[in-house]
Amino acid sequence: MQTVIPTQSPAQAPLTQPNPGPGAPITEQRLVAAQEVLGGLKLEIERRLYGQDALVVQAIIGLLARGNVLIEGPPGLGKTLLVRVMSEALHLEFSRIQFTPDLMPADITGSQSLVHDEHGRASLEFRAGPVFANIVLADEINRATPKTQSALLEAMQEQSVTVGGGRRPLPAPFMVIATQNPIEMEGTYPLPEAQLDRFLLKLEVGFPSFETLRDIGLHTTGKEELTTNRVMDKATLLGLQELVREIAVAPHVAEHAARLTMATHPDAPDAPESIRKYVRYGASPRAMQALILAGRAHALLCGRAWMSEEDIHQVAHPVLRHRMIPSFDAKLENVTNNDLVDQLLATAAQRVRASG
Amino acid sequence: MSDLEALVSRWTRSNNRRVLLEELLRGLGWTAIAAASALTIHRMPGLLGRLHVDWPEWLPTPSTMATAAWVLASLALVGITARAIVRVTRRRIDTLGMARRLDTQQGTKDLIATGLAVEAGTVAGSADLQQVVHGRAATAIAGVVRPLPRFAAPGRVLAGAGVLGVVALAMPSLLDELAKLTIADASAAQLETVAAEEPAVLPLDAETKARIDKAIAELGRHERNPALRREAREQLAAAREHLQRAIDDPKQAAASLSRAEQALRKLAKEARRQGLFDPEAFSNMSDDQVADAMSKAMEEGENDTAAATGEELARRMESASEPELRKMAEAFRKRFPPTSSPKPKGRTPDESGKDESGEGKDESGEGKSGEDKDESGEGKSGEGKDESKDESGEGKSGEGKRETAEERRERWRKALEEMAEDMERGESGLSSSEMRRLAEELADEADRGNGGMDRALDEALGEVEGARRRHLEELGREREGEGKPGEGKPGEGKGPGEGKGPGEGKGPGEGKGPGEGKGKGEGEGKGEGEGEGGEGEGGEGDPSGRPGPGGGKGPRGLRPGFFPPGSIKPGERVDVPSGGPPKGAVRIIERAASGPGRDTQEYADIHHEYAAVAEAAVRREEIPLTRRDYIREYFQAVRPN
Repeated sequence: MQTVIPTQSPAQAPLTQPNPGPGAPITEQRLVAAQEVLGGLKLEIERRLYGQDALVVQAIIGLLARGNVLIEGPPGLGKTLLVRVMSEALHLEFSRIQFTPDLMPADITGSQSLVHDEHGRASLEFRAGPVFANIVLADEINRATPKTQSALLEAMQEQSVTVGGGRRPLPAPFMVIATQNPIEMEGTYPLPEAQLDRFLLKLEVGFPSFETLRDIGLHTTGKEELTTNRVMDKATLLGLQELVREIAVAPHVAEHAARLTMATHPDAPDAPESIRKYVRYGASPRAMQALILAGRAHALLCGRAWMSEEDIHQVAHPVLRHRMIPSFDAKLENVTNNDLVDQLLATAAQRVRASG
Repeated sequence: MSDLEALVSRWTRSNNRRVLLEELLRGLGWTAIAAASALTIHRMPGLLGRLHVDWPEWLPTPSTMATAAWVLASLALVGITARAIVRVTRRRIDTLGMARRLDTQQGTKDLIATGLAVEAGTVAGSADLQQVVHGRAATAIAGVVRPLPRFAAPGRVLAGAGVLGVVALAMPSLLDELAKLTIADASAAQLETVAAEEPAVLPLDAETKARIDKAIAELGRHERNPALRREAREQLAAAREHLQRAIDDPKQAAASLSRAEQALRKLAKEARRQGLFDPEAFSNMSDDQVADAMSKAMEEGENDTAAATGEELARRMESASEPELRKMAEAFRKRFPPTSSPKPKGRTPDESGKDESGEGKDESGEGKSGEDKDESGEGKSGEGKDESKDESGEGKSGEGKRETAEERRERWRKALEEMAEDMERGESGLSSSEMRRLAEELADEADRGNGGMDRALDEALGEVEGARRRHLEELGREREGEGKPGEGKPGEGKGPGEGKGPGEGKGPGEGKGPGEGKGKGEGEGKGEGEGEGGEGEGGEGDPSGRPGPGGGKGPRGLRPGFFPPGSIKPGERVDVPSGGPPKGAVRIIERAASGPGRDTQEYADIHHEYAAVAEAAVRREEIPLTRRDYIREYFQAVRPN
């Protein structure tokens, strides 16, 4: 199902946002304004990134839900560009870490260095690593060693790093967007499940269509350099992230999310036959939280103050696809996690219709 | 309860009631279908019976079918009830389900459901948020036009039940029609098969045909008798028509002859009970016509008819005027013109009485004594005696006072001439008494068996019976085998005596059969059959030396179900083949047994045919002596109404 978001021309994007910030009452006007500004953000990103509408929406959902996003796709499809354009449009601090096998954790978090003052006295001074930014792009994260990869765990989960015995909070908003290349797997270190679970969403970048390729060729190879307009500021983004947490979730919707999560476990009574056969371990409770959070963000994107079961279905693929560990049979029969989520959603839809 | 919840709850209740109604209808429809199916199974034997189809052996017995129908009906009822309960349970919804349905209908994506949750206080969030959501839900629910889906009656189920109901109602008549068609087709097919299988119809032989023709002529003559009762005339006509049909359609000859025989027997029975003649029959005839009828009857020797008409004439003469008497006289004279012998004028009744006393009494001269009555009485008794002797064959004609039939007729003729003269003279009283006396004489003569119609009818009946018996024998011989008919050698009669049987027939295969000697003298018949392996049937001894009937077994051999005499050894077990009865007759007999079918002509035809064949078998002594009466009694018991 395609998410329809009202659009706003970037030229008309207001620099001063109507969002009064955290703690402001939710009104119809505020919802409408949020929808408009988010539409503007989407349009602005899409102006630079051709043919990746779904990817853009899901990235915005991850941003609104204060989640971290793992983007998987072949090289050259605009993964890095997406992150950079988004940070530019939001006027956020952006840093990029190119993961390599020799990358050390300190290269990410930063380290204490011995520095001398004008008096010649030496002291240890913390020099912040690239993780201290609003949006961190962990490019080709699977090429670093697990030790280095795990350096991001604290940052992603706690939004802080501990260096030299001191805990250092990361700036808000904070978001890690990691990319990985599914093709060149030799010499890589696939992310462990525990780390994967920390990513709110896993996005997949598909190859663009012929028309998209043509547009890319026409618009990105010219003399003039494309610039990104600023759509909103940091405060507005924080206000929207607060607003997402305010979106109403009825018990039956939460039940639906919980049932869906339960159904990913092969030993669950409601699990479809395909899940029983092709899934070794199902999604964690964090997946259920992710479903509701992402669903709330999706509802806000659609301008609604309440979340529906359909929102859950819209975000189910990016939320669940990296949280289910497929069985050997699935690999043998080339059954992907996306197929399994499709089955899951079909079964859930039948159940919803039957109960309705 | 808040507004949203109250509204949705009301719609929910309505929806659940509708679901209940729909499922009730569906259950009723299925129940009707199940009932019709069970009823069909239960009544399957009856339905097949209507179609005249035998119950297939591979199916369970009718009682088992009935039990199975009950079991199936019970199981179906339980199943339908359980299914209805499950369906109602599944289709019943609560307020949340109703809200979600409304959301789907309105495209509001769980707004109303969330609004209900907000009302219920189960949604965490600020009051502002809850107000926004509730406000939007109230707006959305206000736009609901049709909260409940359309009433969905289980159309296919009800239609199926309706069709089954109509079929069940129309089934009896449909089956009856189908049975008629089936019977008609089967009968036609069987008739064709029988026609194809059966050998050519045996034509009536010349003698049988001659007998029938003679009987037809005789009956036709009597049928024209004006003095007959109406019922008697009708019986005669019926018998004549049956005889004619026997000639026209040799295939039905046996049955037709049998029916003709029956008609004649019935006529004879009625004649004994109330006579053959009816005075009322003359009411439409004029005097001269009656006189003419009497003259004609006398001329043809129908004494009883003449007597009846004479009685009528005597009655009319008493009150007749002179012209009427003259008319009668003319009628007599037309038929009996005056002879040339001179007659004394002014004759008295005494003189005429003297003449009637007979020739033998002329010598005595007692006629002149004037004792009319005595003289006439003596004459009559004498004549009666003579005639009886003649009949027995012992009397000698022309002896003494005995009067021959010719002389008697001549005397009556003269009496009529004289009566005509009296009538011309207008002497009605005299004519009337003379006529009455003549009628009495004629009636006595008829009572003695001379010139009576009953005797003629007996003779006709004998002819018919003989013809039928002869035809049946031919038929039986034909069914035994189709060899060339043997030609019996003339039997040799020896002197007077009584018949002796059995005769012996000889053919190439040397056969033996029952024979009967008939007539006076000793008959010894021999028949010889010709044909391959033929088995001759005994010849019939006859003093007249007529050829005895012979039969031979032909190349086609025996027909199944018929065993010629002597072909079964004592103690040998014989299974009678099922191909015995003519095809197509079984259903007619079954219908006759089950209802008023014994009134039908079809049944009568079949009965006659069967009875004739059985009688032929009895006569051929194929049936043991002690069982023959059973055969006859049986056919008597099942005779047509």
